[in-house]
Amino acid sequence: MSGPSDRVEQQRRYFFEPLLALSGGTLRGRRVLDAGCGEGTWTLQALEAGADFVLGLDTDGRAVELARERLAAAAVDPARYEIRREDVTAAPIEGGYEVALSVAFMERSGKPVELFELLARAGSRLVVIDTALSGAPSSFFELAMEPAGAVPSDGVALLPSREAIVELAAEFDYDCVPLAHAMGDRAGVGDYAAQRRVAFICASEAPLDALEWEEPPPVTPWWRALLDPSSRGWQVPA
Amino acid sequence: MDAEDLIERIAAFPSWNYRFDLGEGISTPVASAWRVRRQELRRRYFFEPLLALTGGTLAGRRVLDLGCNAGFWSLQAIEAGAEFVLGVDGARSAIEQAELVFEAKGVSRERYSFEAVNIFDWQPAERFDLVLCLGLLDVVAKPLAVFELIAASGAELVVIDTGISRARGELFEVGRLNEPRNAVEHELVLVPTRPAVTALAKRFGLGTVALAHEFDADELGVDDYAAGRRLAFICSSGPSLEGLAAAPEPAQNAWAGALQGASRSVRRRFRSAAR
Repeated sequence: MSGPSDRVEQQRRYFFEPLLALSGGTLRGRRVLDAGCGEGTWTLQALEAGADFVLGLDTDGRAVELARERLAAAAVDPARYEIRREDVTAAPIEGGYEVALSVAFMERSGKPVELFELLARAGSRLVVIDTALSGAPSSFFELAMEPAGAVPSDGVALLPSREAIVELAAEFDYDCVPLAHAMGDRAGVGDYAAQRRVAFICASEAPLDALEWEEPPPVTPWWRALLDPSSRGWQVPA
Repeated sequence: MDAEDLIERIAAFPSWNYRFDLGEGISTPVASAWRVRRQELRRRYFFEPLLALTGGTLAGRRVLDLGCNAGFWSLQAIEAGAEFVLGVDGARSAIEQAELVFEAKGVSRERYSFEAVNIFDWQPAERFDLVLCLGLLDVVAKPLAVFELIAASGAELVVIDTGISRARGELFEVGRLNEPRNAVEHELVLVPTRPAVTALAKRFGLGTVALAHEFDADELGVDDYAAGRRLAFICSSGPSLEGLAAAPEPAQNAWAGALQGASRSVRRRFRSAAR
Protein backbone atom coordinates (compact mmCIF):
# COMPACT_ATOMS: atom_id res chain seq x y z
CA MET A 1 0.00 0.00 0.00
CA SER A 2 1.22 3.46 -0.70
CA GLY A 3 -0.04 6.75 0.57
CA PRO A 4 1.12 10.07 1.91
CA SER A 5 2.53 8.45 5.05
CA ASP A 6 4.76 6.17 2.97
CA ARG A 7 6.06 9.22 1.19
CA VAL A 8 6.78 11.01 4.43
CA GLU A 9 8.55 7.90 5.77
CA GLN A 10 10.68 7.74 2.62
CA GLN A 11 11.44 11.46 2.84
CA ARG A 12 12.35 11.01 6.50
CA ARG A 13 14.95 8.43 5.63
CA TYR A 14 16.08 10.45 2.63
CA PHE A 15 16.78 13.89 4.05
CA PHE A 16 15.61 14.13 7.66
CA GLU A 17 17.80 11.38 9.10
CA PRO A 18 20.96 12.75 7.43
CA LEU A 19 20.04 16.15 8.88
CA LEU A 20 19.69 14.61 12.36
CA ALA A 21 22.98 12.79 11.95
CA LEU A 22 24.76 16.04 11.07
CA SER A 23 23.14 17.67 14.07
CA GLY A 24 24.54 15.02 16.42
CA GLY A 25 21.64 12.57 16.28
CA THR A 26 19.09 14.92 17.80
CA LEU A 27 17.65 18.40 17.46
CA ARG A 28 17.68 18.82 21.23
CA GLY A 29 18.90 22.27 22.15
CA ARG A 30 18.22 23.60 18.65
CA ARG A 31 15.81 26.18 17.38
CA VAL A 32 14.50 25.30 13.94
CA LEU A 33 13.07 27.46 11.17
CA ASP A 34 10.60 25.75 8.84
CA ALA A 35 10.46 28.10 5.83
CA GLY A 36 7.32 27.21 3.93
CA CYS A 37 5.97 24.81 6.55
CA GLY A 38 2.84 23.92 4.60
CA GLU A 39 0.64 21.65 6.69
CA GLY A 40 3.31 21.29 9.36
CA THR A 41 4.61 17.81 8.51
CA TRP A 42 8.25 18.76 9.09
CA THR A 43 7.52 21.19 11.90
CA LEU A 44 6.10 18.22 13.78
CA GLN A 45 8.98 15.95 12.77
CA ALA A 46 11.47 18.52 14.07
CA LEU A 47 9.59 18.79 17.36
CA GLU A 48 9.47 15.02 17.71
CA ALA A 49 13.22 14.95 17.04
CA GLY A 50 13.64 17.07 20.15
CA ALA A 51 13.91 20.63 18.81
CA ASP A 52 13.56 23.21 21.58
CA PHE A 53 11.45 25.46 19.39
CA VAL A 54 10.22 25.45 15.81
CA LEU A 55 9.01 28.49 13.88
CA GLY A 56 6.87 27.51 10.91
CA LEU A 57 6.16 30.12 8.23
CA ASP A 58 3.85 29.89 5.27
CA THR A 59 1.94 32.26 3.01
CA ASP A 60 -0.90 29.80 2.49
CA GLY A 61 -3.62 30.53 5.07
CA ARG A 62 -5.32 27.16 4.68
CA ALA A 63 -2.07 25.24 5.12
CA VAL A 64 -1.29 27.31 8.22
CA GLU A 65 -4.68 26.36 9.74
CA LEU A 66 -4.04 22.68 9.00
CA ALA A 67 -0.55 22.92 10.52
CA ARG A 68 -1.95 24.43 13.70
CA GLU A 69 -4.60 21.69 13.92
CA ARG A 70 -2.01 18.99 13.35
CA LEU A 71 0.28 20.30 16.07
CA ALA A 72 -2.61 20.75 18.50
CA ALA A 73 -3.72 17.16 17.79
CA ALA A 74 -0.19 15.92 18.44
CA ALA A 75 -0.37 17.53 21.87
CA VAL A 76 3.00 19.25 21.58
CA ASP A 77 3.62 21.91 24.24
CA PRO A 78 2.45 25.12 22.49
CA ALA A 79 5.41 26.98 23.98
CA ARG A 80 7.69 24.92 21.73
CA TYR A 81 6.36 26.17 18.42
CA GLU A 82 4.78 29.01 16.51
CA ILE A 83 3.09 28.85 13.12
CA ARG A 84 2.88 32.21 11.36
CA ARG A 85 1.07 33.14 8.21
CA GLU A 86 3.56 35.43 6.59
CA ASP A 87 5.32 36.38 3.38
CA VAL A 88 7.98 33.75 4.06
CA THR A 89 11.03 35.31 2.42
CA ALA A 90 10.25 38.73 3.92
CA ALA A 91 9.91 37.43 7.49
CA PRO A 92 11.58 39.78 9.98
CA ILE A 93 13.89 37.29 11.65
CA GLU A 94 17.25 38.11 13.18
CA GLY A 95 19.32 35.09 14.12
CA GLY A 96 18.55 32.29 16.53
CA TYR A 97 17.75 29.42 14.17
CA GLU A 98 20.80 27.21 13.68
CA VAL A 99 18.79 24.64 11.75
CA ALA A 100 16.37 25.31 8.90
CA LEU A 101 14.07 23.25 6.74
CA SER A 102 12.48 24.31 3.50
CA VAL A 103 10.54 21.44 2.03
CA ALA A 104 8.59 21.86 -1.20
CA PHE A 105 8.70 25.64 -0.79
CA MET A 106 11.22 26.84 -3.36
CA GLU A 107 9.12 25.38 -6.16
CA ARG A 108 6.20 27.62 -5.24
CA SER A 109 8.26 30.74 -4.63
CA GLY A 110 9.55 33.21 -7.18
CA LYS A 111 12.22 34.38 -4.74
CA PRO A 112 15.03 31.86 -4.40
CA VAL A 113 17.65 34.48 -3.57
CA GLU A 114 15.40 36.05 -0.96
CA LEU A 115 14.96 32.57 0.60
CA PHE A 116 18.71 32.30 1.06
CA GLU A 117 18.79 35.82 2.49
CA LEU A 118 16.20 34.66 5.02
CA LEU A 119 18.34 31.64 5.94
CA ALA A 120 21.35 33.92 6.35
CA ARG A 121 19.33 36.36 8.50
CA ALA A 122 18.10 33.47 10.62
CA GLY A 123 21.70 32.44 11.26
CA SER A 124 21.03 28.93 9.94
CA ARG A 125 24.16 26.83 9.65
CA LEU A 126 22.51 23.55 8.71
CA VAL A 127 19.74 23.58 6.12
CA VAL A 128 17.64 21.09 4.19
CA ILE A 129 16.14 22.32 0.94
CA ASP A 130 13.84 19.90 -0.79
CA THR A 131 12.47 21.11 -4.08
CA ALA A 132 11.14 20.11 -7.46
CA LEU A 133 13.78 20.81 -10.08
CA SER A 134 13.94 22.21 -13.55
CA GLY A 135 15.75 19.85 -15.85
CA ALA A 136 17.39 22.83 -17.54
CA PRO A 137 21.02 22.09 -18.33
CA SER A 138 23.59 23.79 -16.08
CA SER A 139 22.67 26.72 -13.90
CA PHE A 140 19.17 28.09 -14.51
CA PHE A 141 15.93 29.04 -12.85
CA GLU A 142 12.87 28.21 -14.89
CA LEU A 143 9.82 30.40 -14.78
CA ALA A 144 6.78 28.33 -13.80
CA MET A 145 3.45 30.05 -13.38
CA GLU A 146 0.17 28.99 -11.89
CA PRO A 147 -2.98 31.10 -12.13
CA ALA A 148 -2.47 34.41 -10.33
CA GLY A 149 -3.76 34.87 -6.81
CA ALA A 150 -4.50 38.16 -5.09
CA VAL A 151 -1.36 39.74 -6.55
CA PRO A 152 0.46 38.88 -9.80
CA SER A 153 3.49 37.43 -8.00
CA ASP A 154 1.36 34.80 -6.26
CA GLY A 155 1.80 31.57 -8.14
CA VAL A 156 5.00 32.66 -9.90
CA ALA A 157 7.80 30.22 -9.20
CA LEU A 158 11.43 30.10 -10.21
CA LEU A 159 12.20 26.42 -10.43
CA PRO A 160 15.91 25.79 -9.89
CA SER A 161 18.18 23.38 -11.71
CA ARG A 162 20.40 21.40 -9.36
CA GLU A 163 23.47 23.42 -10.35
CA ALA A 164 21.58 26.62 -9.65
CA ILE A 165 20.93 25.54 -6.05
CA VAL A 166 24.55 24.57 -5.49
CA GLU A 167 25.73 27.90 -6.92
CA LEU A 168 23.22 29.92 -4.96
CA ALA A 169 24.19 28.10 -1.76
CA ALA A 170 27.86 28.86 -2.47
CA GLU A 171 27.02 32.56 -2.88
CA PHE A 172 25.77 32.43 0.73
CA ASP A 173 28.84 30.49 1.94
CA TYR A 174 27.13 27.14 2.27
CA ASP A 175 28.59 23.87 1.15
CA CYS A 176 25.79 22.06 -0.58
CA VAL A 177 25.20 18.41 -1.42
CA PRO A 178 22.31 17.09 -3.49
CA LEU A 179 21.47 13.99 -1.49
CA ALA A 180 21.64 10.56 -3.06
CA HIS A 181 18.65 8.46 -2.25
CA ALA A 182 18.04 4.76 -2.18
CA MET A 183 14.30 4.69 -2.33
CA GLY A 184 13.91 1.07 -3.27
CA ASP A 185 10.18 1.33 -3.53
CA ARG A 186 9.10 3.98 -6.04
CA ALA A 187 5.54 4.09 -4.73
CA GLY A 188 4.62 7.69 -4.03
CA VAL A 189 8.15 8.95 -4.67
CA GLY A 190 8.36 8.75 -8.44
CA ASP A 191 9.38 12.40 -8.60
CA TYR A 192 12.49 11.66 -6.51
CA ALA A 193 13.25 8.50 -8.47
CA ALA A 194 13.08 10.46 -11.72
CA GLN A 195 15.24 13.24 -10.18
CA ARG A 196 12.52 15.77 -10.77
CA ARG A 197 12.82 16.40 -7.05
CA VAL A 198 15.97 16.42 -4.95
CA ALA A 199 16.81 17.35 -1.39
CA PHE A 200 19.96 19.36 -0.72
CA ILE A 201 21.81 19.66 2.55
CA CYS A 202 23.56 22.98 2.95
CA ALA A 203 25.98 23.59 5.78
CA SER A 204 28.21 26.50 6.65
CA GLU A 205 30.26 24.67 9.27
CA ALA A 206 29.58 20.95 9.47
CA PRO A 207 31.69 18.96 6.99
CA LEU A 208 29.54 17.27 4.37
CA ASP A 209 32.20 14.86 3.07
CA ALA A 210 30.40 11.85 4.49
CA LEU A 211 27.23 12.49 2.48
CA GLU A 212 26.68 10.64 -0.72
CA TRP A 213 26.03 12.81 -3.76
CA GLU A 214 23.17 12.21 -6.09
CA GLU A 215 24.69 11.81 -9.52
CA PRO A 216 23.01 13.88 -12.21
CA PRO A 217 20.92 12.00 -14.75
CA PRO A 218 22.91 10.62 -17.69
CA VAL A 219 23.53 12.98 -20.56
CA THR A 220 21.35 12.35 -23.58
CA PRO A 221 23.43 10.80 -26.39
CA TRP A 222 23.88 13.12 -29.35
CA TRP A 223 22.04 10.80 -31.77
CA ARG A 224 19.01 10.77 -29.53
CA ALA A 225 19.09 14.55 -29.20
CA LEU A 226 19.23 14.74 -32.99
CA LEU A 227 16.28 12.40 -33.46
CA ASP A 228 14.28 13.94 -30.65
CA PRO A 229 15.21 17.59 -30.02
CA SER A 230 12.82 17.75 -27.09
CA SER A 231 14.99 15.24 -25.21
CA ARG A 232 17.71 17.88 -24.95
CA GLY A 233 15.26 20.02 -23.14
CA TRP A 234 13.35 19.15 -20.05
CA GLN A 235 9.90 18.52 -18.76
CA VAL A 236 8.10 21.20 -16.82
CA PRO A 237 6.67 19.36 -13.83
CA ALA A 238 2.91 18.96 -14.03
CA MET B 1 28.56 77.31 -9.71
CA ASP B 2 31.23 78.75 -12.02
CA ALA B 3 33.12 76.81 -14.70
CA GLU B 4 36.20 76.21 -12.57
CA ASP B 5 34.11 74.92 -9.72
CA LEU B 6 32.23 72.60 -12.08
CA ILE B 7 35.44 71.19 -13.57
CA GLU B 8 36.75 70.53 -10.11
CA ARG B 9 33.59 68.74 -9.01
CA ILE B 10 33.55 66.61 -12.19
CA ALA B 11 37.18 65.63 -11.63
CA ALA B 12 36.44 64.63 -8.04
CA PHE B 13 34.75 61.44 -9.32
CA PRO B 14 37.10 58.59 -10.18
CA SER B 15 35.07 57.59 -13.24
CA TRP B 16 31.99 58.41 -15.29
CA ASN B 17 29.91 55.91 -17.29
CA TYR B 18 28.21 58.58 -19.40
CA ARG B 19 29.38 61.71 -21.12
CA PHE B 20 27.35 64.80 -20.39
CA ASP B 21 27.90 68.05 -22.22
CA LEU B 22 27.50 70.66 -19.54
CA GLY B 23 28.03 73.76 -21.67
CA GLU B 24 31.02 76.09 -22.16
CA GLY B 25 32.94 73.13 -23.58
CA ILE B 26 32.81 71.28 -20.29
CA SER B 27 31.89 67.60 -20.36
CA THR B 28 32.25 64.59 -18.11
CA PRO B 29 35.17 62.34 -19.08
CA VAL B 30 34.46 58.73 -20.08
CA ALA B 31 37.12 56.07 -20.33
CA SER B 32 36.59 55.21 -24.00
CA ALA B 33 35.15 56.99 -27.01
CA TRP B 34 32.88 54.05 -27.83
CA ARG B 35 30.86 54.69 -24.68
CA VAL B 36 29.68 57.99 -26.16
CA ARG B 37 28.71 56.28 -29.38
CA ARG B 38 26.97 53.54 -27.39
CA GLN B 39 24.82 55.96 -25.42
CA GLU B 40 23.74 57.68 -28.64
CA LEU B 41 22.91 54.39 -30.37
CA ARG B 42 20.96 53.17 -27.35
CA ARG B 43 19.03 56.45 -27.32
CA ARG B 44 18.03 55.90 -30.93
CA TYR B 45 17.27 52.24 -30.27
CA PHE B 46 14.80 52.46 -27.42
CA PHE B 47 14.29 56.07 -26.39
CA GLU B 48 13.10 57.31 -29.79
CA PRO B 49 10.52 54.50 -30.19
CA LEU B 50 9.34 55.32 -26.66
CA LEU B 51 8.81 58.94 -27.64
CA ALA B 52 7.08 57.87 -30.85
CA LEU B 53 4.67 55.94 -28.66
CA THR B 54 3.93 58.93 -26.42
CA GLY B 55 3.40 61.41 -29.22
CA GLY B 56 6.92 62.80 -29.32
CA THR B 57 6.93 64.15 -25.78
CA LEU B 58 6.85 63.02 -22.16
CA ALA B 59 5.04 66.21 -21.14
CA GLY B 60 2.81 65.66 -18.14
CA ARG B 61 4.39 62.31 -17.31
CA ARG B 62 6.05 61.27 -14.09
CA VAL B 63 9.05 59.03 -14.61
CA LEU B 64 10.73 56.52 -12.29
CA ASP B 65 14.30 55.65 -13.27
CA LEU B 66 15.24 52.38 -11.52
CA GLY B 67 19.02 52.02 -11.30
CA CYS B 68 19.54 55.52 -12.66
CA ASN B 69 23.37 55.60 -12.48
CA ALA B 70 24.53 59.17 -13.27
CA GLY B 71 21.08 60.16 -14.47
CA PHE B 72 21.70 60.02 -18.21
CA TRP B 73 18.25 58.58 -18.97
CA SER B 74 16.58 60.69 -16.31
CA LEU B 75 17.99 63.71 -18.13
CA GLN B 76 16.74 62.37 -21.48
CA ALA B 77 13.28 62.12 -19.91
CA ILE B 78 13.46 65.69 -18.58
CA GLU B 79 14.65 67.00 -21.96
CA ALA B 80 11.73 65.12 -23.56
CA GLY B 81 9.41 67.18 -21.37
CA ALA B 82 8.75 64.87 -18.40
CA GLU B 83 6.99 66.64 -15.55
CA PHE B 84 9.02 64.89 -12.85
CA VAL B 85 11.76 62.27 -12.60
CA LEU B 86 12.74 60.20 -9.60
CA GLY B 87 16.04 58.39 -10.02
CA VAL B 88 17.06 55.67 -7.56
CA ASP B 89 20.35 53.84 -7.42
CA GLY B 90 22.23 51.82 -4.83
CA ALA B 91 25.52 53.61 -5.51
CA ARG B 92 25.87 56.87 -3.62
CA SER B 93 28.58 58.16 -5.98
CA ALA B 94 26.25 57.65 -8.97
CA ILE B 95 23.53 59.65 -7.22
CA GLU B 96 26.05 62.42 -6.47
CA GLN B 97 26.98 62.48 -10.16
CA ALA B 98 23.32 62.74 -11.15
CA GLU B 99 22.79 65.60 -8.67
CA LEU B 100 25.79 67.42 -10.11
CA VAL B 101 24.66 66.94 -13.72
CA PHE B 102 21.13 68.17 -13.03
CA GLU B 103 22.43 71.16 -11.11
CA ALA B 104 24.87 72.04 -13.90
CA LYS B 105 22.12 71.63 -16.48
CA GLY B 106 19.95 74.00 -14.49
CA VAL B 107 16.99 71.65 -14.25
CA SER B 108 14.41 73.06 -11.88
CA ARG B 109 14.59 71.39 -8.44
CA GLU B 110 10.85 70.70 -8.46
CA ARG B 111 11.23 68.48 -11.50
CA TYR B 112 13.55 65.83 -10.09
CA SER B 113 14.76 63.92 -7.11
CA PHE B 114 17.51 61.34 -6.68
CA GLU B 115 17.77 58.79 -3.90
CA ALA B 116 20.65 56.52 -2.94
CA VAL B 117 18.83 53.39 -1.79
CA ASN B 118 18.91 49.66 -2.31
CA ILE B 119 15.79 49.37 -4.47
CA PHE B 120 14.94 46.05 -2.83
CA ASP B 121 14.56 47.78 0.54
CA TRP B 122 12.47 50.52 -0.97
CA GLN B 123 8.94 51.16 -2.23
CA PRO B 124 7.75 54.01 -4.46
CA ALA B 125 5.69 56.33 -2.28
CA GLU B 126 4.01 58.00 -5.26
CA ARG B 127 2.60 56.89 -8.58
CA PHE B 128 4.43 57.13 -11.88
CA ASP B 129 3.43 56.94 -15.55
CA LEU B 130 6.67 55.56 -16.94
CA VAL B 131 9.36 53.32 -15.51
CA LEU B 132 12.86 53.17 -16.98
CA CYS B 133 14.55 49.92 -16.05
CA LEU B 134 17.76 50.19 -18.04
CA GLY B 135 20.74 47.96 -17.39
CA LEU B 136 19.22 46.75 -14.15
CA LEU B 137 17.51 43.39 -14.59
CA ASP B 138 20.67 41.50 -15.57
CA VAL B 139 22.79 42.87 -12.72
CA VAL B 140 20.44 41.78 -9.93
CA ALA B 141 19.16 38.41 -8.74
CA LYS B 142 15.55 39.30 -7.96
CA PRO B 143 13.54 39.53 -11.18
CA LEU B 144 10.20 39.07 -9.46
CA ALA B 145 10.97 41.83 -6.97
CA VAL B 146 11.84 44.19 -9.86
CA PHE B 147 8.45 43.55 -11.44
CA GLU B 148 6.75 44.05 -8.07
CA LEU B 149 8.41 47.48 -7.90
CA ILE B 150 7.24 48.28 -11.41
CA ALA B 151 3.71 47.23 -10.47
CA ALA B 152 3.85 49.28 -7.25
CA SER B 153 4.72 52.38 -9.28
CA GLY B 154 1.42 52.07 -11.15
CA ALA B 155 3.14 52.89 -14.45
CA GLU B 156 1.45 51.91 -17.70
CA LEU B 157 4.67 52.16 -19.71
CA VAL B 158 7.96 50.44 -18.96
CA VAL B 159 11.23 50.36 -20.87
CA ILE B 160 13.50 47.43 -20.00
CA ASP B 161 17.01 47.29 -21.43
CA THR B 162 18.89 44.23 -20.27
CA GLY B 163 21.50 41.63 -21.05
CA ILE B 164 19.75 38.42 -21.99
CA SER B 165 20.56 34.75 -21.90
CA ARG B 166 20.30 33.06 -25.27
CA ALA B 167 19.05 29.79 -23.77
CA ARG B 168 15.68 28.64 -25.04
CA GLY B 169 12.64 28.81 -22.82
CA GLU B 170 11.37 31.00 -20.01
CA LEU B 171 14.59 30.88 -18.03
CA PHE B 172 16.89 32.91 -15.87
CA GLU B 173 20.52 31.98 -16.27
CA VAL B 174 22.68 32.15 -13.18
CA GLY B 175 25.60 34.42 -13.91
CA ARG B 176 28.27 36.42 -12.16
CA LEU B 177 28.99 40.10 -12.47
CA ASN B 178 32.13 40.97 -14.36
CA GLU B 179 32.72 43.84 -12.02
CA PRO B 180 31.76 42.74 -8.50
CA ARG B 181 32.08 46.32 -7.26
CA ASN B 182 28.96 47.12 -9.29
CA ALA B 183 26.93 44.53 -7.38
CA VAL B 184 23.66 45.94 -6.08
CA GLU B 185 23.50 43.15 -3.49
CA HIS B 186 25.09 39.94 -4.74
CA GLU B 187 27.71 38.98 -7.29
CA LEU B 188 25.37 36.23 -8.41
CA VAL B 189 22.82 37.51 -10.92
CA LEU B 190 19.84 36.04 -12.78
CA VAL B 191 19.95 36.91 -16.47
CA PRO B 192 16.59 36.51 -18.21
CA THR B 193 15.88 35.05 -21.61
CA ARG B 194 13.69 37.08 -23.94
CA PRO B 195 10.66 34.79 -23.35
CA ALA B 196 11.17 35.09 -19.58
CA VAL B 197 10.93 38.91 -19.74
CA THR B 198 7.84 38.74 -21.95
CA ALA B 199 6.11 36.12 -19.78
CA LEU B 200 6.82 37.91 -16.52
CA ALA B 201 5.65 41.24 -17.94
CA LYS B 202 2.46 39.57 -19.17
CA ARG B 203 1.87 38.20 -15.67
CA PHE B 204 1.92 41.80 -14.44
CA GLY B 205 -0.57 42.88 -17.08
CA LEU B 206 1.95 44.36 -19.53
CA GLY B 207 2.10 43.65 -23.23
CA THR B 208 5.67 43.58 -24.51
CA VAL B 209 7.60 44.20 -27.69
CA ALA B 210 11.29 43.28 -27.93
CA LEU B 211 12.55 46.13 -30.09
CA ALA B 212 14.06 45.43 -33.50
CA HIS B 213 17.53 46.83 -34.12
CA GLU B 214 20.19 46.94 -36.78
CA PHE B 215 23.30 47.16 -34.68
CA ASP B 216 26.51 46.45 -36.50
CA ALA B 217 28.46 43.53 -35.05
CA ASP B 218 31.70 45.27 -35.96
CA GLU B 219 30.90 48.45 -34.12
CA LEU B 220 32.65 48.73 -30.80
CA GLY B 221 30.25 49.29 -27.92
CA VAL B 222 27.10 47.69 -29.29
CA ASP B 223 28.44 44.22 -29.98
CA ASP B 224 26.30 42.83 -27.15
CA TYR B 225 23.09 43.92 -28.93
CA ALA B 226 24.40 42.74 -32.29
CA ALA B 227 25.28 39.32 -30.88
CA GLY B 228 21.81 38.85 -29.36
CA ARG B 229 23.14 39.17 -25.81
CA ARG B 230 21.21 42.31 -25.07
CA LEU B 231 17.75 43.63 -25.93
CA ALA B 232 15.42 46.46 -25.08
CA PHE B 233 11.74 45.87 -24.43
CA ILE B 234 8.86 48.31 -24.30
CA CYS B 235 6.03 47.09 -22.08
CA SER B 236 2.62 48.68 -21.87
CA SER B 237 -0.71 48.25 -20.17
CA GLY B 238 -1.96 51.41 -21.90
CA PRO B 239 -0.78 52.66 -25.30
CA SER B 240 -0.91 50.09 -28.08
CA LEU B 241 2.47 48.69 -29.10
CA GLU B 242 1.29 47.63 -32.53
CA GLY B 243 3.32 50.22 -34.41
CA LEU B 244 6.64 49.06 -32.93
CA ALA B 245 8.92 46.79 -34.95
CA ALA B 246 9.75 43.62 -33.04
CA ALA B 247 13.16 41.98 -33.17
CA PRO B 248 12.97 38.72 -35.11
CA GLU B 249 12.95 35.56 -33.01
CA PRO B 250 16.35 33.88 -33.01
CA ALA B 251 16.63 31.52 -35.96
CA GLN B 252 15.57 27.98 -35.19
CA ASN B 253 17.23 25.08 -36.86
CA ALA B 254 14.73 24.09 -39.57
CA TRP B 255 15.87 20.47 -39.39
CA ALA B 256 15.28 20.36 -35.66
CA GLY B 257 11.74 21.62 -36.17
CA ALA B 258 10.95 19.00 -38.77
CA LEU B 259 12.48 16.24 -36.66
CA GLN B 260 10.60 17.38 -33.60
CA GLY B 261 7.33 16.95 -35.45
CA ALA B 262 8.38 13.52 -36.65
CA SER B 263 9.58 12.45 -33.23
CA ARG B 264 6.24 13.33 -31.70
CA SER B 265 4.48 10.77 -33.83
CA VAL B 266 7.23 8.24 -33.11
CA ARG B 267 6.81 8.80 -29.40
CA ARG B 268 3.08 8.38 -29.69
CA ARG B 269 3.63 5.03 -31.37
CA PHE B 270 6.05 3.97 -28.65
CA ARG B 271 3.60 4.93 -26.01
CA SER B 272 0.73 2.97 -27.51
CA ALA B 273 3.05 -0.02 -27.98
CA ALA B 274 3.94 0.14 -24.29
CA ARG B 275 0.33 -0.04 -23.22
